[in-house]
Amino acid sequence: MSGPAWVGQGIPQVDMLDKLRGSTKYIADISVSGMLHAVIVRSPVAHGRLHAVDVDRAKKVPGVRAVLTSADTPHRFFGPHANDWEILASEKVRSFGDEIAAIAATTLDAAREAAALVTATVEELPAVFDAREALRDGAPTVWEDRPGNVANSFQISRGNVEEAFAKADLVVTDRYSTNQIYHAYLEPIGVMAEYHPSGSYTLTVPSHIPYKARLTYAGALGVRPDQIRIVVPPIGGSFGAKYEMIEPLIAAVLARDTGRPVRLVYDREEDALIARSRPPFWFHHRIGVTAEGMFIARETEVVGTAGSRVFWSPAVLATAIHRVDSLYNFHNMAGTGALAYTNEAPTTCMRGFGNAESLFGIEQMIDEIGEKLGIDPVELRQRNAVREGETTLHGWHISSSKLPECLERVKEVSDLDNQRRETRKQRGLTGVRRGIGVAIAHHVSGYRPILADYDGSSAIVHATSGGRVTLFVGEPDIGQGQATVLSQLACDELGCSPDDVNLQGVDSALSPDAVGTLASRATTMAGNAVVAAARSARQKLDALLADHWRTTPDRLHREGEVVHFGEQSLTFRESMALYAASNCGLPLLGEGVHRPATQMPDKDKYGNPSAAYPFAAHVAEVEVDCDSGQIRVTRYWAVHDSGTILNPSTARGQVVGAIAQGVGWALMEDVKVDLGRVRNPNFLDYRIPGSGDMPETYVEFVDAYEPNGPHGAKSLAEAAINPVTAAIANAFHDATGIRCHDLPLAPERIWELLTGARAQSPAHDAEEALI
Amino acid sequence: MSQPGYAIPRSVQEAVETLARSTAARPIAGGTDLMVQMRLGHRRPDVVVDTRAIEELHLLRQGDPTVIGAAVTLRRFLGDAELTGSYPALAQAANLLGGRQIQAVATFGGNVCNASPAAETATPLLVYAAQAVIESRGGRREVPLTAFFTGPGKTVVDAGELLVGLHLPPPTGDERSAYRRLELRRSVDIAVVSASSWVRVVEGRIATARVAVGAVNAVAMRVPAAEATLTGVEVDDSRAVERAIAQAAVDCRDASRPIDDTRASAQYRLAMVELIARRALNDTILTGAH
Ligand SMILES: Cc1cc2nc3c(=O)[nH]c(=O)nc-3n(C[C@H](O)[C@H](O)[C@H](O)COP(=O)(O)OP(=O)(O)OC[C@H]3O[C@@H](n4cnc5c(N)ncnc54)[C@H](O)[C@@H]3O)c2cc1C
Repeated sequence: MSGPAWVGQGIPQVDMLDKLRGSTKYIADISVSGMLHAVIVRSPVAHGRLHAVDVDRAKKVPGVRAVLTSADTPHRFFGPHANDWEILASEKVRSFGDEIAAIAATTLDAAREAAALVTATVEELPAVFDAREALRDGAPTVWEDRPGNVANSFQISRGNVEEAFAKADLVVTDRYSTNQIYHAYLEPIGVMAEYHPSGSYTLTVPSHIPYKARLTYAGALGVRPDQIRIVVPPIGGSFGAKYEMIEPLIAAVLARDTGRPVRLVYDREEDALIARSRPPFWFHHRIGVTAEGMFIARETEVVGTAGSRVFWSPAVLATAIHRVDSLYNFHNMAGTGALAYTNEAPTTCMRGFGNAESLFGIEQMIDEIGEKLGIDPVELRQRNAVREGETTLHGWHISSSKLPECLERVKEVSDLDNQRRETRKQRGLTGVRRGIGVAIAHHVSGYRPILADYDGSSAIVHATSGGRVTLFVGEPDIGQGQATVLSQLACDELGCSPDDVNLQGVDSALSPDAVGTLASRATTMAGNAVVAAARSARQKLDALLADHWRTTPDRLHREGEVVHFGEQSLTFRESMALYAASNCGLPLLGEGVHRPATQMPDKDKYGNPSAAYPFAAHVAEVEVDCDSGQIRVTRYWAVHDSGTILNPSTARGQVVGAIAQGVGWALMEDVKVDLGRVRNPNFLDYRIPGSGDMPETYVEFVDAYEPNGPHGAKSLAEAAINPVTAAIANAFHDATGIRCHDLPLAPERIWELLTGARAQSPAHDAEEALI
Repeated sequence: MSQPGYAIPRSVQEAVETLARSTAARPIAGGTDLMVQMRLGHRRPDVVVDTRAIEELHLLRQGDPTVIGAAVTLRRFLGDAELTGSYPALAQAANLLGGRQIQAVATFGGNVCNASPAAETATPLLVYAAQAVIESRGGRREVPLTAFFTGPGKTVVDAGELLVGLHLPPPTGDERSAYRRLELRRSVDIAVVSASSWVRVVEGRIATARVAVGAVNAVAMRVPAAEATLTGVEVDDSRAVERAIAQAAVDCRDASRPIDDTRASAQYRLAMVELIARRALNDTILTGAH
């Protein structure tokens, strides 16, 4: 074998041309014969007792085939984390988005017309729209069986935090909040359901954890998981929103009732109205430090919004409370948190998964500690960051970390020290001010407790006589480039080219069972499984070729797509033809199983949930127009340790995309909810950054190797967004001397902060410039 | 939900005949406002009357008066160096409207007839003293833009009427103008507040001044108090100019009655209209050698 041919090359995404040409078939492009269109009728109030739903008029609309209410469903409570989902609302509605009826009709227009004719008799109840209020005594109760509105809580502690705080030379305490963010994927939610006379279902669903979702759906429909075939179509982005959804179930009951395939596709407004956004969190952080700048204690208290029912917010809460302990050594920690039921749309996870939220505050506080102790912020981070080879407070084993190198490099390429000397001189509250800020982050490459039954991944490689290779994994591609890197990994084992390879969309009738694509796990987990599967296939092929040339496999030599033995050679395609011909047409099959070196955390959450941890160090430069509050990220530097980079072009794409998403979160994105109703369910008033808002961006990957990853690779996607809001907030502070405790740093908020600060420092009056 | 009818008249005459047939008929040009409103159910025309096959609505020429046909796209205007040179505030505004794709189809007629208080071209057209030329079966009338907007989404163009175009006085060579807006992001956004200003300098003094603000009232409007503040000011007296600009900006704020909405609070809009008016005036008088 020669060295890798494809791994490490920045080949374009294998499905890029289809996407550019518009030939990729998303749900909205799929239409099957006899298909009906579904529309959902939602609650007219934020909170109320549902006495009756009148569907008679709706049923009479020509073309309508079904109008269902809760009574027509299996009518049971279920859910991924708490039994608080129902397919259609029965006794109560708990948010405007709650589904009270579902319609299937031959045309979308007919379904919409019918929807407008459904009327509900609802007795409105007092509602609660703020998690902190919901947890207070006397707040309206969202779920009668959950007095106090506590949807979930989490506690963890290590060492003796109070003793440690008592010993600290400096204790900083502060509050921070992170806001509600819409995932703003390009493809609004869409699903299709078919019901088969045998009593089984085919659900075409853009879930990236399809096997986990299937368990939830089977429970809801009262069937065995194997009675649901789940098919994952191309996914037009998700960022965490499409894990497990209610929509496939609504389509399923309509399909069962009508005996026809049912498609349900949201338009942007509906998608954004019911958006299960990033949960808003309110943090209280306390950090204790020695005079030498060594962290010795950390305490965090968090309140977050679950909304009217629980999606994936509990896992986000837990992450927000304790993941940072594997970035820094705090030695002693205590964290508690609660998620509240409110009369708002349910929240769920989003890229960064609580870690990004917690770092927004903690990374600012670390700057503050540096300022108070007179220690350079990079140096302070270096002193306290966890190191390669360490086992952290919660038992996480850091098998590789080049974080120190990332920090040094980002400092160098951004010319941080010189820049900061300049910005510090011009810090002020008027005119245009420039600032620069640093933040670091880490993440996981998979997270063991997600599906307790198994971790890891498995893969099947299938190659035909014509040399067409198909990869089967249970981790769906969500547009991040997974098909590309998995193909590259397979090609280097098999000696073929990515043009020969397809990644089969996940289909429970064909694909391996899997945890899925979440927690930044797919490249590491599925990558290892694909390497193993392709290797096992190649061994079979080599055995055959060795036989053919009357030699032994170790004497074969592969170069690109050609196998050599002495003077003789065969291309991959030729060798595949030979293989099939010698096996009565049998395709070449390879199986691969990857069992990662993780350790299931125990009841105290001690264990090693991931086989590899990626790291990042970012620097942001901002320009603040102090008179208007407008703020712009002008330059950005991101240096990452993601182990070996399998594809520099898709990897860079992940980082640039994460920076864009982070800039949006930091500066403008905000779901505005007023008395439970989303006020900005469109891209006019839910602003995501455009090209004009993007900084000049520098991306670098340091030389690194992760022993547990395929070819030394570990994850990237979430580590890349985690430091962004904090780096920008630190840059804002550098420019103005003001800490921004709440997201986003949007013009009006910045203007208010600056106006407040100017009022408190009359010295600035004289400076008031005429601009 | 029935689909509306679609008419493509070839002349102004034919268009107004078609419009007269139903009070729910509605002209359409680029459709970048109307299509969105129809999809959201905010407007439900029974016939949409495409204005783009009417030659007269495509007139675009500098002269006395300068004519901008109602169906002229922003991109076409932006590609005309003579006009953008003569009407810089309008060019700055047109350049900020939407993105390149929107500019390729969005029209001047659509922008003013849609009558958003934040409409990009409204404040520049106001300070250039534009006249709206409106035709109906009964004939043609001219309405100064100051009397054109009657409320958010409302104008003096009645059912059965068509905006033919906008007439602007020709440039005289001794005038300066500028446009400014405040936006919440830097790519494709609607103004939170906007302002345009125009001054004519004769013998070293501001002989005439026009100032208009957008997104701070039910309609985009001129601010007579600010204009009075500026009139007579000697442009080489920098202290006097500074003072006048600051006062005129305050006049703009005082004339504003903004609302709270998801984009901004009224309080922020008030502070910003002063800032943005000041910046527009600075551009016009201090830096703008237009
Ligand atoms: C993504 C996006 C970004 C945008 N950004 C901006 C922005 O930054 N600033 C801004 O001001 N606007 C913006 N708009 C709104 C819109 O593009 C502009 O208002 C545009 O100028 C409308 O022109 P149109 O030709 O598309 O109008 P249409 O939608 O065709 O018509 C608009 C209205 O005018 C009426 N109308 C059109 N022509 C006539 C006529 N001849 N006589 C009588 N009535 C007529 C129509 O009946 C309708 O009520 C944006 C829109 C989109 C979709």
